[in-house]
Amino acid sequence: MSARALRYLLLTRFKNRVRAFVGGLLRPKNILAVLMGVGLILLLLVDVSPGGTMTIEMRYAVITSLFGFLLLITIVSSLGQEGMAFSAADLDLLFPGPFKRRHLLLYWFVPQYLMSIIMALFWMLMFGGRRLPHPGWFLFACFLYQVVTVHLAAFSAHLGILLAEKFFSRLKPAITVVTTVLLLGLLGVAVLIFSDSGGVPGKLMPIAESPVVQVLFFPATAAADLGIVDGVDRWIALAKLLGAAAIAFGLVMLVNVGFIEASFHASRKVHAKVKDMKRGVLSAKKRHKGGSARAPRGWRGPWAILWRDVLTLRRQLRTLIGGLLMIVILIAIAAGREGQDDLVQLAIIYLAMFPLWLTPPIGFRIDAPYLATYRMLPISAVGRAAGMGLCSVLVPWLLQLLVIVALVIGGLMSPVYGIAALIGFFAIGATFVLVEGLFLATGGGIRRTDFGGNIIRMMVQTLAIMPGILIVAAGYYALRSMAGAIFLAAAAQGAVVWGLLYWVGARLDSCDLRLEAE
Amino acid sequence: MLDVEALTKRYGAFTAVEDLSFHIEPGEVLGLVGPNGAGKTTSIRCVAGILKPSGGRIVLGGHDLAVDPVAAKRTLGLIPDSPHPFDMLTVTEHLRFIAMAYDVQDAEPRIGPLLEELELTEKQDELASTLSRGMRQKLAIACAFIRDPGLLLFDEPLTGLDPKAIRRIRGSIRRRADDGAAVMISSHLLDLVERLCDRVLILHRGRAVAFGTLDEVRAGAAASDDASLEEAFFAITEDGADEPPA
Repeated sequence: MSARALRYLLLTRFKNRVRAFVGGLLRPKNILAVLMGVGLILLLLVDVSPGGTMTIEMRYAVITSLFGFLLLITIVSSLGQEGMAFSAADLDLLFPGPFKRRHLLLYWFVPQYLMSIIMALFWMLMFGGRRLPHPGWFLFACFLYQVVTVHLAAFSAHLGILLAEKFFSRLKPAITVVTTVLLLGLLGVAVLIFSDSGGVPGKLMPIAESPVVQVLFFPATAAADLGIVDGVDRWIALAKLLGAAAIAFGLVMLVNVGFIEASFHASRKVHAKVKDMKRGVLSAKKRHKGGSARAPRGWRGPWAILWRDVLTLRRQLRTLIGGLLMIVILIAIAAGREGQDDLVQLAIIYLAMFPLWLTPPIGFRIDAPYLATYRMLPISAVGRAAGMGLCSVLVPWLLQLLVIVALVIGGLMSPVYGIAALIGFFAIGATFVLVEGLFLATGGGIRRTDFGGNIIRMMVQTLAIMPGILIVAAGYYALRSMAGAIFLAAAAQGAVVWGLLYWVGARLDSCDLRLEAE
Repeated sequence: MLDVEALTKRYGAFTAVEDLSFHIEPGEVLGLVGPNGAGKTTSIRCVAGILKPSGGRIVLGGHDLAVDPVAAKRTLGLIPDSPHPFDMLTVTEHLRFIAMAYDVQDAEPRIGPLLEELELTEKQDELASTLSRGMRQKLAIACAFIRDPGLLLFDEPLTGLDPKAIRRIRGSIRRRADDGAAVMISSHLLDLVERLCDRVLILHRGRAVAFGTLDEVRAGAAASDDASLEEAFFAITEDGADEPPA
């Protein structure tokens, strides 16, 4: 009975999801989101994979290395998870129910298999699978590789449960560190590969072909093999992948540990993190040991809001710092390549502001639930808008400052050019942040899950920086000096920021507080 | 219907529930009360088979939860304090799913009256993601009621409900008990417990400090005959926290 009920649950949910998606397409902003998504995929199809000049051997090395890395990360991070994550509804309705362990496990696997199909397509695009001798086989290999990682993740989570009962609490910090290091390593290698820097694919070749990698990461090497080899070797590679999937699956089914309780705790941790992410906040430490901060002298009015943001950031700094440093290093590597065009260099540094906006710890989006509180404060409308936005402008700007200082010290950028760029970036950041505030105040889609609304917001943000961009172009044409043109453009963009500040302030004072405070 | 013997639950060095024993007979309503952190929800989750006890034994409808969890769980219905239904299932589909999972015969004709009883008829074809907190609470109750389990476990059952719904659900719970179901209600609403429950179990710091009828609890607290449960509760949890059960 339980298997039939779970089948009904999966199918009905899938059917309703499809129906909701199709129904949602009637809304223009959702159509826009879909079109953008399709456009992105087409763009990926055109070319994002490592350069067309890469040899088959290099491509093999890249696939093996990244798949191997991911396999390792999956195993280590799942070990630290100490249980498989289920949804809150699963915890409420399935865990106290008469469901057999194997049925619950299969129920967990089915959506992961569907996701594996999507991931297989993604890998195909990312690795330029169509340039391999057997693209069809490689696509199938990517799917099988994903299935192997799903099974291994489940097995590793089970192993984590087993170890947790004995001595795991002492190992947990080490696992977190290893996972973070591996993730950063993977990110670094991927950036170097996809930006064609340092001839990395060539350097990976001997590593990928070494016997240790071939044995330890055999699902990764087998997946790469399937795209290249034929005859008996193809069937051997296929057998390796299927064997790995079957063995990991068998182990999960056979190792009977305290699966329900561990998954209950693991799931609740994941739900808490997801809830934080949906709101856009980082998880603060449960026990704050730093005591209470004193308010800086002279910080009054709007500065009180800024102070709150500074405290929020300071208390999440440990969570933030690794990511921030990584952004600075990656941007500095990419911007500091020899022979880099000045404009390309600026564009790369400009991109530094985006990762923070994807997961902002502060800003209008985060402050939405506090809008009523802020409105009660005796602060002018403009002051309120400035207080709420300033910190979100400053954080990415400080990252850009770090990158530019590094480039100036390294002789890769002139100081005047650097100062001009910093002024320009501040104006662009302020424009972007204030447009976000405007969307908050008009209920125009600031929630993370409202993709259509967010795309429209990004388009408006791009439009709002157009005056600056046009004046840069005109200024460069007239002055023949990029620094001078940027100074001029920053002044024009500053006027836009000033206008926006008044507009956002007025809107924040009059908007319907229910719009985003739920 | 439910026998709990020497239940203990530890998280590392912390003991959430210690040596807890009680039983509920069919047709009986037991109120589980205690201050925050007393171990009420942990006890309920252990009984529901979500948490594995560190010690002790739980028998549901004659089935030992540790030996035959599937058969034991078939006899119980849990209504959690903050229900999370499946977002992409409608109200009716939830009931169909539960009926299927618990092998409920002739569930379809019972869905309509049950939705009517819980004032969910208008929402029957709505996705759960669109329901308010109160409606989700009612849906969780409907999921438990559709299969008439031998044991109903309520963790703060009336949170988020309006006064009319509270009265209705209270009546529904009493009716199930009169029909023979054993009911356990964990709640901070002492007035509700006093009006609805036949016996009361007071937990404090993971241990049972009082267990019995309201009269027995009063006697254990050395309270007067007309003392309310609230008065007895404070007398027990503030003064006699470490005393053994009455």
